[in-house]
Amino acid sequence: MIIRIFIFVLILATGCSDKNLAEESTENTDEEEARIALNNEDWDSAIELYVALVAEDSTVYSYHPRLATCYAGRSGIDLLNIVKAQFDGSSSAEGGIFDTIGGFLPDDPTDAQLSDIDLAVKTLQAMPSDHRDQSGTYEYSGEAYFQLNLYTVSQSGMFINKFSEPTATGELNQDTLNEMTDAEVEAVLSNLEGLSGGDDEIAAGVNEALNGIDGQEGSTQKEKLINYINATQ
Amino acid sequence: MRVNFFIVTVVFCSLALPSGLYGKKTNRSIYQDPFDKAGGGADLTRASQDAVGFANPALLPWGEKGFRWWGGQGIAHYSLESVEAIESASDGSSDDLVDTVFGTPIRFGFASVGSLVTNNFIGSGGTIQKIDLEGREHGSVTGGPAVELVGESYNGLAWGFAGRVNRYMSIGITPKYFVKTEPEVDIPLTDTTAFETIDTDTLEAEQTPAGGAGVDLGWLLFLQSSSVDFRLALKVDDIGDTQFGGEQDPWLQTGHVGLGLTFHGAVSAIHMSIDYRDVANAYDEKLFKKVYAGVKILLANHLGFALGLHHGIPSYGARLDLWVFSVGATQYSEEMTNVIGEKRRDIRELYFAMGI
Repeated sequence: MIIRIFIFVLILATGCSDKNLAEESTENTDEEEARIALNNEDWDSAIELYVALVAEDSTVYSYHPRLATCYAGRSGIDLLNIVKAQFDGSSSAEGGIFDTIGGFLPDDPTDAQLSDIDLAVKTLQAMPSDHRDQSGTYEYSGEAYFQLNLYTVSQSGMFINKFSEPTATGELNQDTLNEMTDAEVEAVLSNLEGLSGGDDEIAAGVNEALNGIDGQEGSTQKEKLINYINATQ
Repeated sequence: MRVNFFIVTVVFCSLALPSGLYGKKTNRSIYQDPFDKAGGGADLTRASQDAVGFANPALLPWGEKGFRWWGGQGIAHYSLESVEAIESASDGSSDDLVDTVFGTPIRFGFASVGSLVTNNFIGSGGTIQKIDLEGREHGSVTGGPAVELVGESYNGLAWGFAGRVNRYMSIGITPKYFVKTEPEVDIPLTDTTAFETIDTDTLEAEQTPAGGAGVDLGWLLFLQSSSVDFRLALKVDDIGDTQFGGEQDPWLQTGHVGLGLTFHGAVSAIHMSIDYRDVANAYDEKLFKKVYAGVKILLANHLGFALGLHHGIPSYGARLDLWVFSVGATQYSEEMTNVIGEKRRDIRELYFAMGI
């Protein structure tokens, strides 16, 4: 009798996969579903869920950085590798901050990707300022601060990438660069100036870039930026 | 100078945790015999000898012998992935190390427990240490990369006393004293100021081990026949909550119920059991983390096989008892959060016990 039961149990065991058998019957909250989607980098679902959570209670500020991360992820930013580059020192490559960070951004961003990185920045900016300040009162304000700076620089980098079209000779296509509008250039530089007051590595890189742009020849901001891109690409 | 991310993180973690490195106990006992874990962790109605005091002291009076066991057991606890991660890390470049930490959770630990077991008494003392380290790409509260370190460190004593109330029932009580720390440290890697602004005094206070005394109470209904036994167990852990000194969180009072059915011959038996733990949901856990079920098969008093469901995931193991010593291996899985698959660990325990 016991041997028969033993054989039955063995057969049962070998038929078991290593899947969690409770998965089908376990319900998750909306927050947990959003977390799962974020972990799986299922950006569309994660964004939909976090947008609903923020709408439900816009004062739960832990959702804003997560939603921003989802927008940034969908825009093509490789956040982990940017962080890794920070720690292993490879972020100090020559060519300035745009050249450094540009390697982790889409080469030829689409309008949808630019829209997403814009939403990432705006989502973080919707938080109270002390929740995204380097020394803010919110427990994770330091992290939100870093994310806002990173996404703002990334937005500028993606904007530059959009107009940086290499030609067969290796030079950049000047016609494409000239497609930038003055208003777009001013908006990008204005965003960057907003970051220059910090004392972190990103602020240092932004300051270096702004000084580099300002030091270029040209009568308009657009001309100076194009000359800077040509000089550092 | 090139900064090695992995080394920075590990050194930081080591500094942040000055003593007992080593999540948190919820509805389970801090010590379970690996063979019981192989049986899905359902141990309220039947437990291996050295773990009876923790599983359910009311099991004591139903042994065949007055003096049952005096000895000790050592357990190595690790996830298979940890071995691969360490092998990968030992060969070289920091890129590999970073990828390893972010691709492979590391879990290892050990336990060493000594016990004296009679029909009415068990005295157990020991140490249990576990550490779990994982880099998660979206692990921080803001969705950025983070390194998460959780651990358990317990050192202490438990004494179980039990007696039969009548022919069918027994009760038992286990007073215990443990020094513990259960650190949970999340280091968001996007917060560049985290290392500079961390409040080391608070962190050290939270991680400093502290002692606390508590009591568990068990009850068992045992209906026997010549070939089939039925058991119903009730148990309350940490009556009135077990409070600890310092900044250590208390262990909350939890109530459990277990059912067991045993088919047995003269020297062999098959025991099927199911436990429903933390009935009042003090720890706010989902059903899959509260139901433990399994089958233990004991052949000729020397060989045991166990199968079960631990946190909804199949577990299994085998044990060989050879008079003065025994050896065994267990494979089980643990869901560390309330979300299935979010932090799952597939764990192996190898153990060796010696005693009389």
